[in-house]
Parts: sequence; structure tokens; C-alpha cells
Amino acid sequence: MNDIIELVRKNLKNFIRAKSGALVVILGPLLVIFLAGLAFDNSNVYSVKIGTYRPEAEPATNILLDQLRGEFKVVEYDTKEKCVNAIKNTDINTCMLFDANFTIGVPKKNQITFYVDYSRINLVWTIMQTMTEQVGEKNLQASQNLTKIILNTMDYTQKRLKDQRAAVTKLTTQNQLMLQNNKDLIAELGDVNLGFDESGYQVNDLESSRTQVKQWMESALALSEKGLSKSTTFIAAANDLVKASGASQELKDKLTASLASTLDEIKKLKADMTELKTVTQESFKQFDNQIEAINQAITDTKTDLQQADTSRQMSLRVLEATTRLLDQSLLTTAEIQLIINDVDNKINAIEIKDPGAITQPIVTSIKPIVQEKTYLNYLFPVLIVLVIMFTALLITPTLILLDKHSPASFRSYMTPVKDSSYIAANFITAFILLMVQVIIILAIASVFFSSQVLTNIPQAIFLLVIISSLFILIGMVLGYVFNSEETATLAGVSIGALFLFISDVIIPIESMPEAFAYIASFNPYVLGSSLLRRALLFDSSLLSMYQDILIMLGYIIAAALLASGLYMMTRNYSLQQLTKKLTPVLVKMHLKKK
Amino acid sequence: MDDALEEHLHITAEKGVSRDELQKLLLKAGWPAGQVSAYIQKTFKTIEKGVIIRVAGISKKFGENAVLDTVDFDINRGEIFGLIGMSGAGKTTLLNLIVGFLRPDQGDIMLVMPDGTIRSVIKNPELIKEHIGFSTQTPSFYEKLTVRENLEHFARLYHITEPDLSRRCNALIELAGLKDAKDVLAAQLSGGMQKRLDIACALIPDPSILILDEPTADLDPILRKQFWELIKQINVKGTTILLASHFLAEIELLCSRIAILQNKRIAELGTADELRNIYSKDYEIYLEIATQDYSKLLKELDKRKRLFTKATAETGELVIETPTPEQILPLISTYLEHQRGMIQSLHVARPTLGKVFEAVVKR
Repeated sequence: MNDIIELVRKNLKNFIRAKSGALVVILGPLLVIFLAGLAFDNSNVYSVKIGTYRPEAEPATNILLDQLRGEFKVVEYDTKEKCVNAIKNTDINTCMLFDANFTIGVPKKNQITFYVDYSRINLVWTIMQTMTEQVGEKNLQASQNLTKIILNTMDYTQKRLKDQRAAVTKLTTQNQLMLQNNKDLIAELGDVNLGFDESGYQVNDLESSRTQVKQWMESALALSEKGLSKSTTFIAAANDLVKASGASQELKDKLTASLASTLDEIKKLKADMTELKTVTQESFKQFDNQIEAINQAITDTKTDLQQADTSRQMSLRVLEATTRLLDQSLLTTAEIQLIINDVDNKINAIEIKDPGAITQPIVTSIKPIVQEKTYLNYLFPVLIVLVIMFTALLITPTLILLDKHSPASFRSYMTPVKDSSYIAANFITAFILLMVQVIIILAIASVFFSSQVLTNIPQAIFLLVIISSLFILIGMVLGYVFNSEETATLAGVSIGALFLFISDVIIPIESMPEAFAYIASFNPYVLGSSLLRRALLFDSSLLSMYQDILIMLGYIIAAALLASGLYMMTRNYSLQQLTKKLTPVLVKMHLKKK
Repeated sequence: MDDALEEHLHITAEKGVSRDELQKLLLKAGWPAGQVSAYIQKTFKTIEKGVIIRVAGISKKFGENAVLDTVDFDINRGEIFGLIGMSGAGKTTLLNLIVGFLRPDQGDIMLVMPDGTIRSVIKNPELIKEHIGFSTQTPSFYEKLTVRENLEHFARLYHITEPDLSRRCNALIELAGLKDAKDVLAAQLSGGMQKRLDIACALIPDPSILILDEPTADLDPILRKQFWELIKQINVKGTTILLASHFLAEIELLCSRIAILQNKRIAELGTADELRNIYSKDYEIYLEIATQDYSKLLKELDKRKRLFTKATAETGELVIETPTPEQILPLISTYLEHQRGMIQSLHVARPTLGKVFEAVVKR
């Protein structure tokens, strides 16, 4: 245990006596935590700028915008394009487009489209959340109003229906009475015997008898006419012949005989006619019997009909009563109809009946200002600057310190090479290494990412050179300030982390306190990633980004001057340190004396 | 000396200032006459004696701790100048001041140019790069470059271009005996080869002065011997060499003059013999016999005390310090014959530089 304590004591002494290292180790994280704490110590979205475009200034949009103005900076634009471009130029964070004739709750007129920059993912979600809250509040209010109208209508309908409940009861009673009357009428009518016994009238027999008689009569008449005609004709002819004939007697005798035969026949005919008359008489007798039977049947029917008439009279009375009830029912129904019409009008008066519009009177949609395949595409510029930043902040000091600690630096110092050449060589070496990395990343990006990301290559390369230069120069400052690789690496990581924390990678700058957000907007990492994002994702021209580029160039000049100054200031000190390192005895002696 | 005067002196020195002019300037600046005289004497003495470099009144402090205090010495053109001192005496600090790694708190370092003008290397650090080669205890080259690549790299930094570059590199490779290893990575070279490469690198600008700081500290005796041979070769070619080492025997053999740095100043300076004479004019007789019993001989010697200064028997060896070894040696011979003692070793020498050094340190 004592050994461990002793070793720990030794370690701590070693650590504390390495002043710059101890300072960075202790102050670096403290500074990062302090600044990150300042940056993140809030939960609001302070500085979100909302751009808006609305074809007309409808009241609904005014209300919404007034509500937003309470918490955000709202900038109105003339056109949709200007509004969207303002996001690309980072003038605003979101663009809010209203439907033409924007009306809350009216489909196809109630949409608000938010255009956002998906490359700022965390801000996108913040904006979406905030706008959803803001519009959602209005949405809820509108939804409540619409529901209130429906509920009022329902209330009114209920009240009117309640008023008509007695009428409906009355109608029911009347209908019940009508039902009873109808039942009675049915029973009554059921009792009416309207049966007709067709067999009782023997109409068929009468018909056949009559037909037979008729035939007989016709036959008799025909026969009579025939007989009479023949008799008449024959007798006349015979008489004439006999009288006028010069014929022999024999002949005349024959003729007389013939006449006598004819006369016999006429006699036979007469007999037949007599027989026929008899038969006809019998038939007519039967016919009379049948008619009598029919008369009887008719009398029976008459009786029945009289009974039916009695029933009809009764039914008529019942029907009259029913008619009266129906009249009353009609009146009641008309009243109900009026109420129904009233309620119907009330319901028709509800403008918004679409369930979607009632539950969501304002429809919001979020669209990206540029369409990429994946989030990685949106993040690509930020990631590449992140890689450049950390690589430059770590590689550059390492390069410088490797050379600083190399015994060969003595030899280099002895050569007649200008200090500026060393500084430039360090810069160019780090730049080459960084560019190799960037080329690898771009090559990978060209394979995996959308072509759009790499369309603006010339501008992207220009910006990458600027961004890389700045971070390399910052790395050079670290390399010249610090004397150990570990300390410089820690300082590089601390500075990188600081840049990272005070950027919009973790939380949006817009959600930082205003003063802090203002400072963060000048963070080289924020500027660099913003420039590259605008160039790669939005095809922004260098001219449109000149302000940020000038700031970056200013940083580069300042960092270059600082790095050069530090190199000049620390060169001899570094050599002394190296001298001490190479001649440990000397150092030991000095320490003892001190 | 104020900056303006120093600057003026620097300018005039560059032009080749005359003694009278310098005297006028210093007096005009309000210097005391004695100080002016001393300064002029120091400054112009170098020219008179063919000195190549003059360290004039150099003082250096680290914080409150003074490491060097008014150090003065000259190095002559073409000599091998040795600098010895205890660890921490300030040798490396002094060398670092000469090569410009450190700036003195006081004093100046003058370089006598081939045309005879005197120039301050403090004011003209570029002179160091042109005229001084430096090799530290730790070899100073890039381990991940080959021998040739290292030489070519530094040659280019010295603005040597083809075809001189190849010629110079080949010559240095040849001189350093690295012909067979010219394409080997420096990290893979042996310690001796690395040291030789370091020297080769230091010689790239063909410096007038080569400064070596403990160049053989990490080398075994054989490699050290090879290295000293190389140094001799370089010196023969006309390069002045300033050498700091704690291998006193080798310094003694190699250096034409030696300075002992002690108590922040040059305590002694001279040739090896001059230093020995400062310490003692006696010779030393070293005797070792098989029995290691010198009591009888010491008794005999006691009878002739006038012949020797000191006689001590330590660590099995008898050391007799005497101004007349030729009178002592017969006595020893006679004694050994009578005693029949078997001689292990017997030699006569002047006091070693180590003894001189010890004496100076103890003083």
C-alpha cells in the first residue's frame, strides 16, 4: 500500500510540475464545461427566425403570425423562392408558406408548409416541435371552436326534439287508435260474406239448353221452309204440267201419281214438324225451370249484398274516424317535419363537416429545402468539417512537436533556412495530409452519397482549402505553444470539443442564450460547416457567402500571424527545452540549485 | 553595453572596425578607460593571434542561477580545442551559447571571418549557420531517412544544389566511412555509425568550426577510437574543432589546447603540458609487483626524500611523484633485484589530465 501511495505521490508531482500539461488538463475540461454549460443552460428556442410567405394577408394568418411574433423573429417575404433562399443563406431557420386564401378548417385552404434545412437536423426537430406546439395550439383552439359549433347544434336539436316529445306521444296514440280501428274494420270486413255459389245458378246448363233449342228451332224452320218450298214448287209445276200437257194419258196418269207421292211426302213432313214442336215445348219447359232457379239464386245474392251494405256502412264510419285521426297525425307530422327541417338547416349551417378538418383545422407539413436520399447526405458537410477540424487540430501539433522533439531539429536550426520556410513547410505538410484525408472522404462520398452532394466541387474545394487552412493554423498555434505531444493533443481535443460544443452539432445555436449564440455564430467550426453546407447542399455561390468567407480569411490571417509570432517566440525556448532534455544532468543541477 | 552602441559596434565590426575607431566609440559611450582598454585588448587580440573565435565575457543565468560568469577564451584557427568540466559546470550551456541556441546575458562571441573582419555571432546568428557545424551527444538527424537522404536533405537546406550536392554527400559518406550503409535507414545504424553520420551532417556546409558536445559518450572504446580518427581527419582538412568531453585521456591526446570550466569560469586554459605544469612538474612512476607489498621500498625511499615529492601505495600500486625519475628508477631496480619481487608493471608518465582536472576541481 505504501508503495502505491508513493507511486501516486510521484505521479502527481510529475503531473503538477509539468506546468502547461497540468494547466491544460485542469483548465481545459473546466473551460469546456464552463462554456458548454453556458451554451446549454437553457431549454428555450431563443433565436429561431421564421420567414413567411402568404399570398394574401388573411385574418387567420395574421392571428397566427402575431402569435409567433410574440416568441420569434418573423420576417415576411414577397415570394416563396425568396423565403426558401433565405434559409439557404441562413438568414432564417424555417420558411412558413400559407395556402392561398388560407382558412382554418377548410380543406385545401388550411395548409401551412414549413420549409426547413434538413442538414441542421437538431434544429429541424426543434423547429418542428416548436411549430407543432405553436400551430398545434391554434389548431386545438380552432378544433375546439368547430366542435363547439357541433355541440351547440346538437344541443339545439336535442332541445327541439324534447319539445316535440309530446307531439310524438300524441302521434303514437293516434296511430295506435288508427291501428285499432283498422283491426276492427278488418274484422268487420272479414265478416262480410261475399261468397258466390256459381253452381247454384246452373248457367252452363241454361246455355247449352238454349243453344240446343236454338239449333232445333233453326232446323225446324229450315225444314219447314224446305218443305213448303218444295211442296209449293212441285204442286205448282204439276198442276201446270198436267193442265197444259198434250201428253198422253198415260203420261198424265204418271204425273198424277207423282203428285200424289209428293203429297205423301208433304204429309210426312207435317208429322215431323209436329214432333219437333213437341220436343221444343219440352225444352222450353226445362228452360223455364232453370230460369226460376236463377231467380232464386239472385234473390239469395241480393240478401247477401244487403248484409254487405250494412257492413260497408259500418266500415265507412270506422274509416271516417280513421281519416280524422290521420288528419291529426298529418298535422303532428308536419310539425315534426318543420322541426326536422329546422334541425337540418342548423346542421347544414355547420360549415366544416370533414372529420379531418374538425380534428385538425390547420394542416401542417414539413418539407426540406433540398431533397436528399438520407440524413447522411445532409450531415456530410458537417461531418467533413468535423473530420478536418479534429484531424488538423491533432495532426498539426503532432507534426510540429515531432520535429520540435527530434534531435534533428538542432541540425535544422543550424541550416540557413528562414523561419517562414519552417512555418510554411509545417503548414503545407499538414495541408497535404489533410487533403489526402479529404480526397479519400470525397471519393467515398462520390460512391455512396447522392450526386447532388458533389456537384459544387470547385466551390467546395475552395472552401475546404480555407477551412483546412484555418484549423491547421490553429493546430500550428497549439504545436508552437505546447512542448509535449500529450498536452498539445489534449489542448487540440479540448479546443475541438469546445468548437463542437458551441456549435449546432449538439444543440442548435438558436437555442442558446442570445449573446452566446452571437458568439457561437463566429465559431470557426460553425462558419466552416455552414459554408460547406451551403455550397454542397444548396449550390450557394461564393459571392452569396462572402461575409462568412471574409471572416474565415480574417481568422486565417490572425491565426497565421499568431502561429508565426509564437514560432519566433518559442523557437529558442524549444531549443533550450530540447537541450535540457538531451543534457539531463544540466537540468538536474539547475533544479537542485533552485 | 547599451543596445545602440552594440548595434553600432556590430555594424562597424562587420566593416572591419579599427582599434582606434572602437576605442573612440566606447569612450564616447561613456565607458571607463580601463574597461575600454580591456575590451579592445580582448577583441583585437584574436586577430593578432590568428584566433578564429573569441568568447568575450559571456555570462548566463537560468533564473537566479548563474551558470556562466564572464567566460573568456579564444579558439585558434585549425586547432582542436578541448573543453572539460564537471557535469553541470556549464559546458553544454557554453556550447549552446556559441551555436546560438541560447543568448548570453552578457558578453559577446566574435567570429573572425576569413577576410579578417570580426563579427558578433550574437548579432549575426546567420554566421553560425554558415561557419559553425554542431554535433550533440544525441545524434541529430532523421531516423526514418537513410544516410544519403539525411545528407541530401540537410544539403538542400544549406542551398547546395546539383552537382555539388551529390559530390558533397558522396565525399562525406566516404569520409564518415558510411559507403556501405548509405541506403540504410539512420535508425538501423550502429551507435558508431550514427555518430559518424551526425558528424557528416554537421560537415555539410563545410564549416570553419566544428563543435562537438560529448560526441563519444555512448560509444564503446573501439568505436570511440574510430571516431577520434575521423575527427583527426576532419581537423587535418583545416576545420577548427571545439570539443567538450569527459573522456579526459582522449581529450589530452587529441586536443592542442584544453580549457577547464569550473565555478562558472574558465579555471585553466592551455596545452596538456601547460596544464600539467600548472598542476605539477613531477613525473609519476607507477609500479606494481606480485606481492603488492611496498613497505620495504617505501622505507628505502624515505632515506632519499629529496628525490621525490610524494609516494603512495594504493589499490595494489605504488605511485611515486618525482621531478627526477631517472634517479628513482635505479633505486627501484636495485630493490627489486634484492627482493626478487616479480614486476607486474612499471611505467613513468607525466600526471594525467584527470589528475590536473581533479586538482583544479578541488582547488
